Amino acid sequence: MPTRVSTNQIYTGGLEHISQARGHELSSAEKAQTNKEVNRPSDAPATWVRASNLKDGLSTGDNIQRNVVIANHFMTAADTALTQLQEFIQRTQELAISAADGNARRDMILKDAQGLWSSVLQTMNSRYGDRGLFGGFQTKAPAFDAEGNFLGDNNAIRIEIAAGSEPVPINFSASQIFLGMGLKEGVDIPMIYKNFIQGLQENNVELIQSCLPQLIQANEQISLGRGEVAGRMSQVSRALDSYASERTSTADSVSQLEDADAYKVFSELARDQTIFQSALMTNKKVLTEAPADILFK
Amino acid sequence: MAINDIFDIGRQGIEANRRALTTTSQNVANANTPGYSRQRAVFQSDARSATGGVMLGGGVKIEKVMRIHNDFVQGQIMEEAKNHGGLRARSEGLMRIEGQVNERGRDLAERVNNFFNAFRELSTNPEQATLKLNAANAAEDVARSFRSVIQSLETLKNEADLNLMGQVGGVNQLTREVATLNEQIALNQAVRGEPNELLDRREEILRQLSGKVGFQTYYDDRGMATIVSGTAVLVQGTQANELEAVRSAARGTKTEGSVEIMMVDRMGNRNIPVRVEDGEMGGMMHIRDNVINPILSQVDAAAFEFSQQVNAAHTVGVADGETSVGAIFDPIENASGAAGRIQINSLIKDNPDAIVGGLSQGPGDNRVALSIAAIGEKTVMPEFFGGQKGDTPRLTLTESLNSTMGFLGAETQRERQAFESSDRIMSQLNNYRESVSGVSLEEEAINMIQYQHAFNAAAKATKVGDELLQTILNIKQ
Repeated sequence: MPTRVSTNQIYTGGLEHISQARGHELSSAEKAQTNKEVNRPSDAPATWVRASNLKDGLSTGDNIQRNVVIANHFMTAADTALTQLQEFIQRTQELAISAADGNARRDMILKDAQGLWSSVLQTMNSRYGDRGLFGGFQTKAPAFDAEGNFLGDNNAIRIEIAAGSEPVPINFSASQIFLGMGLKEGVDIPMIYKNFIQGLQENNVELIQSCLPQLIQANEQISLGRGEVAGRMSQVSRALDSYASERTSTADSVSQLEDADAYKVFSELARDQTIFQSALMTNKKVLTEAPADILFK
Repeated sequence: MAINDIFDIGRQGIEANRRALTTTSQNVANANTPGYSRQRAVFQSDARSATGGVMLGGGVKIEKVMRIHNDFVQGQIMEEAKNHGGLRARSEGLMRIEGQVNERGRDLAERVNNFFNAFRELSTNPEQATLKLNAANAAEDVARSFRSVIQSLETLKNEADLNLMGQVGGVNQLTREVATLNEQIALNQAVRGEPNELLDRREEILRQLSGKVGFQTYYDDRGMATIVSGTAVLVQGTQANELEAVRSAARGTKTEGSVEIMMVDRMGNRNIPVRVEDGEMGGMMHIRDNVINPILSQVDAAAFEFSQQVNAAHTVGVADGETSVGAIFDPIENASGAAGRIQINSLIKDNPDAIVGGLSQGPGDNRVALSIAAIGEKTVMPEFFGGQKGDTPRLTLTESLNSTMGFLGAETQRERQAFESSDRIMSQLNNYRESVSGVSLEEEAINMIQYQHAFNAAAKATKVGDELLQTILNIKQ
């Protein structure tokens, strides 16, 4: 501090100190009001960019998570349909065993078999909401017509289960699960039912008997499909679990990057308020009791 | 020595102390005048006669009224003023830009992200009209947000240009004053000695000028200041050359229509560009050319890349039972000005159901929606640092927009810190100048008392001389 002090220095210095203290107080008040350490990019540019990227990642992750939940419901619906289908096939097996007996009342069994075929057809045309489960991309129309002809395609609807990862299929190829195409010992389930019903109508024991091993095979084919569903559901479930923990740590990182430590912020606010008050009080003393006033009296 | 000498010396004492009191009054009156240097009356005793072999004093005179001034500190102030002015313009300008663009920039990144999320959601159920409407709205939002960011940046850029035009008027006013003061100073120095007030006034104007535009000052032997900014002579002797703000053609980082500073020479020619790097004008030009323009071009590049990628992915799609309506956004030919021109295809705006989910006619086909959503995760933009772009795409679109705002933040932080540092230096220099040249009312009060007493004493001496004369005159009676 220079030895000679001009009058202007006293006023300018006072103003500077008050203004500086006010600035610090306002800055602390902003942090306390927003509870954020970083309120704008210039507060900490690298931190701001990192936090913004993480927040965008969270938003994308949340969106994917919602989609994954929908996919999970879609696959659960498919699994329920396949489980029902297996029950229908097992019941049909039982009917086929009875019908294969030479003394069986096939006219009675026929009605049951036709009812089961109707249920099987309905199940193969199962929908989740307004979307067909087994028609590939042809989600609006039923996958099979009344005669059991496949109307859909073999495309897989895929969805993202993690940002930037390869989308995974959520529907199942009806031609593989129901028609056995592409499988080593695949069977055509609608065809089995057609043959079985025809055998019953025509009292053709041989035709009925030929359906028995095919029904067993159909059951295994559906089991195979269910296994695939379970595998994908497990993959989706893992993605959900993984995202849940990733989300927690990302949200934590965002908070650590931009949120203010409440204790620190309020301590600083209290300190800055005290400094501001001190600056005001000191200047009041210095400015109102100027020695020049005494000398000029 | 005659008794009359007592009157002469007394009169001189009265006169000298009156002048000293006048100087003190001048100091007190100018205690708050910016740039004023306190003055001090320099007393000098006069030895003029020898009587009886003894040298007697001849009284007192004010040799000069001295301006208490430190040229070195003043030089440092002038030097720092151009940094200070430039940094203040940069810091305040950038804080303003950040305040206006930050929210919009962050909003833009979020809307781009929302756009990709809308298509990701559409991919889970491409048959649903509501999700297509949602995607169309997201596209409209992104286009609007791009335009909003560009609009606010363009507004700030125009404001910078308008401000520059206003500053030119201020600079011309100051240079004219310097030229006038040069003339007065030269005249006064030749005839009456140091023109303290004029010198102070010129220094104050030079300090103000230095805050607006950086320059070098040279003084000739008559005390006239020559002011040179870059290669342009703003003031030479009594002649001031005016600056003019003219809108330029595109060149380097300057876009077409940016204001450039030209000097008008004595012949009225406007063909001398003035390179303004310091002071407020330099600061504003820096913000415009090195901050706003690079951000504009980066946002344009992002808008161009975004619309190109999205359109390319959507155009290959097939709508339900018919071919695609084509692009989601109206095609943009090049990146220049892309963010200001981006807008949603009116066919999609009028009929959001025209948004295509897949590559086939299958209503459940979601491959187009998936590929559009995937663009959000692709690194398609080069890194953006220090206003320069890298060559290799390393950032996603949202990362690029965030990093652009980060660049603005880093520039703002850097300039704010530099300004705070310069402000402290300026404050110290002003403090030092004040401690040397500033008026202290306490000091002046004491001086006043001192000169008043001396004035009274000189008057008393005159009175004593009068009494002596009366005594002598009374000898005859």
